[in-house]
Amino acid sequence: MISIQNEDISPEEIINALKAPEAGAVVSFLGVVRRDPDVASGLEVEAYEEMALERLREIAKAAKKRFEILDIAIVHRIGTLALGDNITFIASSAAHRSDAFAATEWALEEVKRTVPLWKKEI
Amino acid sequence: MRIHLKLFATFREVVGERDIVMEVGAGSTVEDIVTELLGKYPRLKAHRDSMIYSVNKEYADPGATLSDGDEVGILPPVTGG
Repeated sequence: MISIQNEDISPEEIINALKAPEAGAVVSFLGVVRRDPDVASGLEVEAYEEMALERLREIAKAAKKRFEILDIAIVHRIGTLALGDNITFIASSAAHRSDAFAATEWALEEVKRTVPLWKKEI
Repeated sequence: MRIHLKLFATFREVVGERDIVMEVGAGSTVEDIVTELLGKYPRLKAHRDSMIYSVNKEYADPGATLSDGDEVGILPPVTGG
C-alpha cells in the first residue's frame, strides 16, 4: 500500500495486509505530531501530490531491490493535523527481522530526504 | 512557449499563488524561469539558494532546457516523514 491521504492511518489494517506465511517479521514506523516549542496546535502538511506519490512508489520499489523483504507499505498524510495525530506510517514484512528493520528505516530516511512534502508548524 | 509553474509551502506563501503560467522564449532553461520569477517577486530572492527544481514531476537541474507545456516545480527543501 502506497498512499498520500488526508484520512487517518490504520496501522493494524496495514500490518495485517502485510502479514504472510513466509513473513517472520513485520517492522513498522509511525510518525506522530508531537509537542514542540514551535508547535502550537499541530502541523499543516502539504505535498506536490503526484510527484510525491511517484517518489513513494520508487522508494518502495528500491527497498524491495535493496533488502530481502516481502512487501512494504508507505503512507503519508496531508492537510491539517493536530497534536498526537498520525502523520507517517511505514511497514516492511520479511522472513527475518533484520531485513524488515533495515528496510523500514531506510525507506523513512528516503521519504524525509527526497519526497516533495512539507510540514509547517501551526 | 508556455510554462506552468507550481509553487509550494514558503514559496507559495511569498508569491501568493500556487500556479503561475509563464510565456518564455524557446530554449529557455529552469534558471531563466527562476530569474524571471524573482524579477516579479523580489521577496523570493532570499530563498534562491535553497530552491529545488522539478520538470514534469522529476527533479531537475537549473540548467535543464524546457519545452512548450512543461510543468516546473519550485520547491523548498522537503520536510516530510
